Amino acid sequence: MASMNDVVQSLKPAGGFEFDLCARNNMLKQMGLKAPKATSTGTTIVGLVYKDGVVLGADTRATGDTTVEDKNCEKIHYIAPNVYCCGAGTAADTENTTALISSQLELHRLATGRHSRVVTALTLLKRMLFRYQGHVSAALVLGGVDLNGPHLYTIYPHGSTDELPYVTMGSGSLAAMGVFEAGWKENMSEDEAVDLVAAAIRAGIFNDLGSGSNVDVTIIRGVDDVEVRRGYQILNPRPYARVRPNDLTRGTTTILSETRTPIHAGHVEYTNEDAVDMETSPVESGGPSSS
Amino acid sequence: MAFPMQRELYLPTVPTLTVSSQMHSGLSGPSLGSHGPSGPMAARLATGKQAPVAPSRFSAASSSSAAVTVGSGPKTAAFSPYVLNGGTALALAGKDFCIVAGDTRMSAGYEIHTRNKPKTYRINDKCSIAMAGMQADATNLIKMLRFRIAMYERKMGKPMSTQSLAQLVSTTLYRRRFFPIYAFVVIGGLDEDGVGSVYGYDAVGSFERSTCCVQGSGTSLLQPVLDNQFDFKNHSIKPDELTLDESIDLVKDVFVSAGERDIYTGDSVEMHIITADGVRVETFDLKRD
Amino acid sequence: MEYPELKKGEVDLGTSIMGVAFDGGVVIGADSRTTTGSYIANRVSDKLTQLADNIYCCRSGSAADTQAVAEYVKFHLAMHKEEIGGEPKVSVAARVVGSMVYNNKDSLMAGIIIAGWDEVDGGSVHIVPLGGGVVKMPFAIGGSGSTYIYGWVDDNYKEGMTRDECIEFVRNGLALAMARDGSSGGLIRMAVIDKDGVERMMIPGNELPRFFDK
Repeated sequence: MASMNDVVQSLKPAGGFEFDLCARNNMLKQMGLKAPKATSTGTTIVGLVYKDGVVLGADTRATGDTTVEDKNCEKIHYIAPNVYCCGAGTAADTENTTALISSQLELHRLATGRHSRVVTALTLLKRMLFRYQGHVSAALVLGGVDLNGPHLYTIYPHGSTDELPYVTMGSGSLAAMGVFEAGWKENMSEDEAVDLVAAAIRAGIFNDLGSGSNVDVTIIRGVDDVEVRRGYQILNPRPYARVRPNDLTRGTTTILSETRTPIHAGHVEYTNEDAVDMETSPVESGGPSSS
Repeated sequence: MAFPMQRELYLPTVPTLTVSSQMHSGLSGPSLGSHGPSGPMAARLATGKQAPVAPSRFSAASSSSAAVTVGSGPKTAAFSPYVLNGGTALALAGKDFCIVAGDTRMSAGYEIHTRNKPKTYRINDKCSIAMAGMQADATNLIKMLRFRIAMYERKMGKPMSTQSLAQLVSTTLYRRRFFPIYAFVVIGGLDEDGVGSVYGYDAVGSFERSTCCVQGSGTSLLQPVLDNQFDFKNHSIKPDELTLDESIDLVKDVFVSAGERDIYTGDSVEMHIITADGVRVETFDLKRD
Repeated sequence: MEYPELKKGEVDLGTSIMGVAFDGGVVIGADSRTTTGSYIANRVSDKLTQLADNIYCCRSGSAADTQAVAEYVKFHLAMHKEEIGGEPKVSVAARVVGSMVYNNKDSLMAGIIIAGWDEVDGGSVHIVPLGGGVVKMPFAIGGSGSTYIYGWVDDNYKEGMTRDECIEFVRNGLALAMARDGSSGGLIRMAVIDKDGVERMMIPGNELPRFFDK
């Protein structure tokens, strides 16, 4: 007979994905049930190598089918102090994949006492995506700077990778690549690079329905020399608000029935004996960071 | 792969309709053979592995032009005559006015074909039509309607009333019951008493008069809002009916809201404001992302 | 059996690849186009992948599958090198690739040419087609573009070609394949492997040899 301990052990998550319900779900699918659709980030993400680093860019729209689920989501993910990664595809997959590899790299840094290399992040990501044969739909733009200089890669959901000086991904990748192919030069300055990246993202935002809202930019110059410019360009403010909103009078919603449940405070007694008065007057040394 | 049966080759499957409660017995499945479509288009349609399902008012029908099966085994390239071009159209009816409006974005998939293709069509001084769905079918439908309206006006020597137009649109749509026109129509105008009137349709001509109706990709977002804010549905205490200016304000606001959340609604809105003085056209900008 | 097909949205190396052995070494070459459907995902890809100091492979098929195979084989050969205390033989590398593809034939879409130089066999070329067979050949062509030049290579291959003649043969063959095959193109990357090591070459897209359309 199973002991309580066995039961507890069996309930503990083993790590990795759970496939317990696959058989049941396949049966339901055969019976005509439609699986719920995940939020996908029909996206424009880009990366560009410039004179002394890498610039990454992304739009901020997340869609579920034809509805905008999030108007200002973050698609440039932290991997390491010198490595960042843009994600397109299923939002959950890009977020969890980058978070998982970020954590593996952190442990690796602690074990080795060295800064992460971009190729290490690349290898970990591509191995994971290849293992899941494209079922983890993460299309990534990985960029960073390490001891070997700046690096920029694309990673496809099936696990293939490319290293290039300028890359685009997501549903807006064609619009963005058009801008890159027209405007890219070797050894660009940081300002030129950021301008071109923003132009490429704007091409996606305005020409691809899967992309929209704002431009996010991250500039990686070196280890701990990273500038995350969230909301670098806010391009799409709401153009009109109702001039005469309809104020509803109390009682507009019909109350069909009413039940009141009194809250019992129990026997908790509040004592004030040891309480210390809150500091309300300014402290001489000033700022809140002094404590 | 089993060879398709002769019956499958020549009979389209029965299209689904939104309003199915009044199904005529003469049109049920088995007798379709004699009542079914004829002509080259119908034959091409029926040759595909899957006959097209008529679009319902609330769901998108097949959207891609050629569905090619990916994977092993024999591949079928089905002929799919329909494409969704997105966008939202609506009409509101007040005591002595009517507003017909539609955004001007035309798109397919993730692409914008144009930012300036109005969905609104002026018919006469008393009414306008707006259409969402497939632009090609909408253009063709308005061409057919304009022809028949012109014939009517020549014969009767007077402009067609909104009520008559409503019936004409219905019969024009139902004529294509078995190869539907993929256009979702809404008519807005003044009736013979000068009162605002709105008629909403499904793809095969079922229609209903109402005071506010939304069609197209923003329907699920806007219809409930307008039901509440324009018709005051489910309000125990009804506020005063909206004036023309308040209604215009509301239309602008709901289109902007749809533009925030529906990827197919955007760029600009063309609005026909119909009063006893005639039709005034107004446009305003939406977001372009 | 049914061979695996490209999964939806998978990156394809719809490719033209070639390898020719000459007395004392091999010449290998590939185009540089990587596609997803009709979109060129990479126009300057490097499909010549080093497996060991003296061995290269030319990859065709799924980009993900061939990169994974190459990574595994590279690891295998590195271990093998330590065990034997010398450079691995090209035929061994080919057999390792072959067994990987053979044992995973249901899920791998990979057609790979393995070429290199070793002390026993000199320059040699092996091809591993879709099912995982291993065939040693005097020269090999592969990828979607190769179908356009089978006749041409059979006509123009001569036994005992020199190193420079082999380079010419590969360059012309690939240029012809790339001109006709829509999923091949870009530029030509080549490598010569002999006892002295590897020499890499690149012919830009606007300097490719032209033929009837001169």
